[in-house]
Amino acid sequence: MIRRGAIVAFLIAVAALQLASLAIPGNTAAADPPARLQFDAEQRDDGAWMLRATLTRAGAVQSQETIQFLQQVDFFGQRWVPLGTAVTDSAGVASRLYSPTSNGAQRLIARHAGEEGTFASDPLDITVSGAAPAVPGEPPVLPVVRAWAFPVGAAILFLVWLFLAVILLRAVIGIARPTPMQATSSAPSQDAALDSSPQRNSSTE
Amino acid sequence: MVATAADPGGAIALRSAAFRPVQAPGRWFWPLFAALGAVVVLAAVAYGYQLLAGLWVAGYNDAAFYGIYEANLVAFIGVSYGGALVSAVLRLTNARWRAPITRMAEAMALVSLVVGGSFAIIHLGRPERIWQLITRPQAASPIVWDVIAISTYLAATLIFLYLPLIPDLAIARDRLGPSASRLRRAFYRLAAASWSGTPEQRQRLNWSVGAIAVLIIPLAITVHSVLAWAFSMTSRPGWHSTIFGPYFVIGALYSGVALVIVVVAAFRKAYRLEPYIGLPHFVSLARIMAVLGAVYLYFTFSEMLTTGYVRTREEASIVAVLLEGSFAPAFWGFLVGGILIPIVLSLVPAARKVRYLVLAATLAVAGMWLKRLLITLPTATAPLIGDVWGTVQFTWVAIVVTLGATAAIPLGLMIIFRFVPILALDEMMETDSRDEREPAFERSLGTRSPP
Amino acid sequence: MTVPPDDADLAELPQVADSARGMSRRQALLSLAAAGTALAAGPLVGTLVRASDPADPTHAGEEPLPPRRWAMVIDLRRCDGCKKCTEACQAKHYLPPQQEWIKVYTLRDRTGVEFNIPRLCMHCEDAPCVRVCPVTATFVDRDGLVLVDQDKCIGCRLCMAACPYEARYFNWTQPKVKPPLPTKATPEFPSPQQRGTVGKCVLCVHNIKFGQLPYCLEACTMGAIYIGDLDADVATNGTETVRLSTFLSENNAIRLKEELNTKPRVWYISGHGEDLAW
Repeated sequence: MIRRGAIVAFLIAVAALQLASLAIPGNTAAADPPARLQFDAEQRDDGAWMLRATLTRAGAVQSQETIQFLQQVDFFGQRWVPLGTAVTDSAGVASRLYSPTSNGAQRLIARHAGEEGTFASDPLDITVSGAAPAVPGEPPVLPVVRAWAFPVGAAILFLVWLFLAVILLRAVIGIARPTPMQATSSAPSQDAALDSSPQRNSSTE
Repeated sequence: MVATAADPGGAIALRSAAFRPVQAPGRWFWPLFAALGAVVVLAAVAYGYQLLAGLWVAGYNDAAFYGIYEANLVAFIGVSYGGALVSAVLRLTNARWRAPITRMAEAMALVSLVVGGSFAIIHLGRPERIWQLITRPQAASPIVWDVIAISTYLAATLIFLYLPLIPDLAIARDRLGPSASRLRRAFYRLAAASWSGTPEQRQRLNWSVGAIAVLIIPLAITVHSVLAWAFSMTSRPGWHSTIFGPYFVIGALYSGVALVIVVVAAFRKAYRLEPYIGLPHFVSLARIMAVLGAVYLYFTFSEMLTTGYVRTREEASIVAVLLEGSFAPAFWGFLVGGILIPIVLSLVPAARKVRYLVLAATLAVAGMWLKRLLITLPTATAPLIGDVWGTVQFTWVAIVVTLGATAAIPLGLMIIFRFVPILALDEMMETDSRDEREPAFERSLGTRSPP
Repeated sequence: MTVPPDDADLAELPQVADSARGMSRRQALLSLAAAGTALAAGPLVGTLVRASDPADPTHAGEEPLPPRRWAMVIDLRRCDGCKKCTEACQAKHYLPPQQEWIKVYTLRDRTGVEFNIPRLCMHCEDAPCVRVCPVTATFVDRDGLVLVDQDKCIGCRLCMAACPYEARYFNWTQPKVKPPLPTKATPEFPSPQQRGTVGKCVLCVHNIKFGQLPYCLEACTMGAIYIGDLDADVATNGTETVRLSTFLSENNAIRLKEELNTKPRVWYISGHGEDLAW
C-alpha cells in the first residue's frame, strides 16, 4: 500500500521538475529516435493560409496522428490560441485552412501530443494583411443629423437671444428717449393722462 | 371700474386698490410673512443638512434614484405656465377680461419659475460644480438644453413682467413719490424709464409687449418640452414615450391656470380687490382649465392605452403598477380628484361660485403635483434586470424642502407686491377706455359686475 | 465543443527554436505525470508566474500597453452564483456593500429554471450614459472604456436613468475607506469615491492597461469570466485561451438588450442553449 506521504512527495518532486523544465531552453540528448514536426504555411489567393505540418519519427512519416495548430499571442502574458486540429495523412502531413481575423505579424506553431509526450514545431512568423475583422465595429447612426444639429441649434438660440435683446432695448430706449413732439410742452400731468378723456367721466356702474 | 360721485372715473379707487399692498397691506401681512419665512428658513436648514450628509437623507437610494425633487422640478416650473397663458395667449387673443389678473399671473410665473428652477440645483449631488455647465457643457445632453431653455425663458419672463409694468411704475413714481423713501423713489424713477404716456411711447410699448408675447409662447413650450425630454430621451419604460413633450406642456398649462385661480382668489380676498375681479373672471379661467384638463386626460389615456395594449414586458409592468398595483390608489386618486372633479366643478352651473372654482383649482394643482410624482417614481423604482422593485422613503428633509418651496411662492408674491401695483393699472384703464367705444356684447366679458 | 488546452499545459512549449526537439522516455513519463498535475495545479502555477498586485493600483508613472478593443464573455454554464467576483471587486475597490459594480442576479428563465447572471458595466460602444452627461464627466477613454471622472461629476444621475443595464451606482453619502489609501483617486481607479458622484465598473482598466487581469476574473473559481480583444480576436479566462469569434459563434453568445443598439462589449453564453429571457 503506497503511503499518502509518498504520493505527496512524488507529486512535489514532479511539480518541482515541471518548474525546473520551464527554465530549460533545450533538451538533453535523447536516446530514442527523435520525432520531428515540420511546420509551414502558405497564403492562398483568397487571403486564407494553408497550414501544413509534417510529422516524422526517425525519418519515417507518421500517419493518423492529431496535430494541433496554435497562434501565440501576448495577451496578459504568453498564451496560445487554438486554431484547430488536423490528422496526418499517409504522407504524414496534416493540413488545415486558417482564415485570420486580424492583421499584422502573427506567430503560429504546430503541436503534437503523442505517446512520447507533447512537443511542438518551430514557431512560424507570418504577416497578415487584408483580413476581415471577425466582430467589426459599426458606424455611428445618423451622421448627417449629428453634424448639423449643433450649428442649427446654436444659430436658433443666438437669434432668440438677439430678438429678446432687441425687444428690451427698443422698448426701454424708445420710452426713455424724449420724442421731438414732447419737447415743446412739459410732460402732461398724470392726472390728465388718467382722467382726461371725456368718455371716462361719463362711465357708470 | 367703480365710479362714485367723488371719483367719477373710478380711477382713484382703482389706483388705491392697486397700490394697497404697497401702502396699506393689512394687519395679517407681517404674521403671515413671518410664518412663511419660517418655513422657508427651515427648508434652507434641511437643505444645508442634505449638503453635508449626502442625498440619502432625502430618501434616495440606487433603486430609487429619482423621486420627489425631480417631481417638484417639473411641478413648480409647470405651474409657472399659468402666467404665460394668461398674459401672453390671452393678450394675443384679445381677451379683455384678463386685464385685472395679468399682473398677478405674470408675477406668479416669475416666482414659481425661480423656485422650480432651484430644484434643478437641489437634486444634484455636487451643486457647487454647476459652473461646469458653462465651462464644459455637452451639447447633446438634455440637461444642458434644460439650463439654456430655462434661463432664456426666465429672461423672457422678466422682460414680459417688466415692460407692461413701466406705465404703472410711472404712476407709482408720480403718486407715491412724496411719501416714499429715497430708495423707493429712485427705484421707481429709474424703472419707469421716463414714461409719460405719450402716443409714441405707448406705440413703442405696445409693439414690444406684443413681440415678447409672441416670442414667449414658443419659449414656454420649449422649456417644458425639454424638461420632458430629459426623461423621454432615456430608454426607461414609462419615460421613453414620444408623447412626453406635449404631455408635460399641457400638464403645465393645466396646473398653471389652476394656480392662477388660487393665487388670484387669495390676493383678491387679502387685498379686497373684489370690485375689479369677479366671478366671470374665475368662470373664464376655470373653463380654460377644464379644457386643458380634458386634453391632459386624453393624453393620459393615450399613454396607458398604447403601452397597456401592446404589453411589452417592461412597459406593461409600469402600466400594471399604476392602474392596478402599488401606485393605483395614487393614480386613481389623481385621476378622479385632480382631473375629473375639477372639470365637473368648472363646468356645472350649480358650482358657479368662486369658492367652488377655487376648490376645483386647488384639487387640480395638488393632483398634478401627485401626477408628477407618479411619472417619476414607478419608472425610477422599476427593475431593468430581474424583478425586484426599489423602495422610496419620504424623509423629513424632502418633505420640509418641498413645503419650503410651496411657501416660497406666496412669500415671493407678497414681497413683489410691496413694490409694484397688484393690478395692471395702465392696462385696465386703457382697456376700459377702449371698452367704452366697443359694442355692448364685448363689454359683457368685462370687469363690470361685482361678485 | 473541443476543450481548449490549458495555458499551463502549453507552458512547456519551447521559447527558443530547436529543430531536434524531442524528449527522453523517462522525461516523457515524468512530463505526462507533470501534465496531469499541472492540469490540477495550473492556476496555482499560473499565479506564481504572474506579478502580484503592485502597491499602486493606479500604476502611476508606468507606461501603459497599446490600446485594445476590449470585450468580456461570461459563460453562464459555469457560473454558480458564488459571488466571489463581487466580493473581490468590492474589496479591491473599497466599495460600500450596496455598490456591486459586478452584481450577480439569480433569475428564473422562461422554462422555470434558475440561473445566475453577473452583470457588470457593458462599456457600450454607443453608450447612452456618455451622451446625456451635461458636463462630460462620463467619457470614453483611449481603450474605448466608459469611465467617470468624479472630480467633474455634478451628481445629476441622468446617466443612471439612461443606462439600460442599471450598472451605475451613486455615492449617496461619503464612503468611508479604512485605512486611508496611499494613492489619489483617478477615473481609472476611482477609490476613495466622492460623495454625490456616480461610480461603476471600470473593467479594471487600471489593471488591463498594464497586463494584469481584472479582479473579478481572477476571483472566479469556475473560470466563467473571460476577457478578450475584438481586434486580436482572442479571449482568456486566465487559464484557457480561445479565439474570441469562434468562441462566441460556437456557443451562441448573445448580448443583453441587443435591440437597444447600445453595442455592449459583454457577451453571455447561456446555460441552456436558449435566449436569456427571464
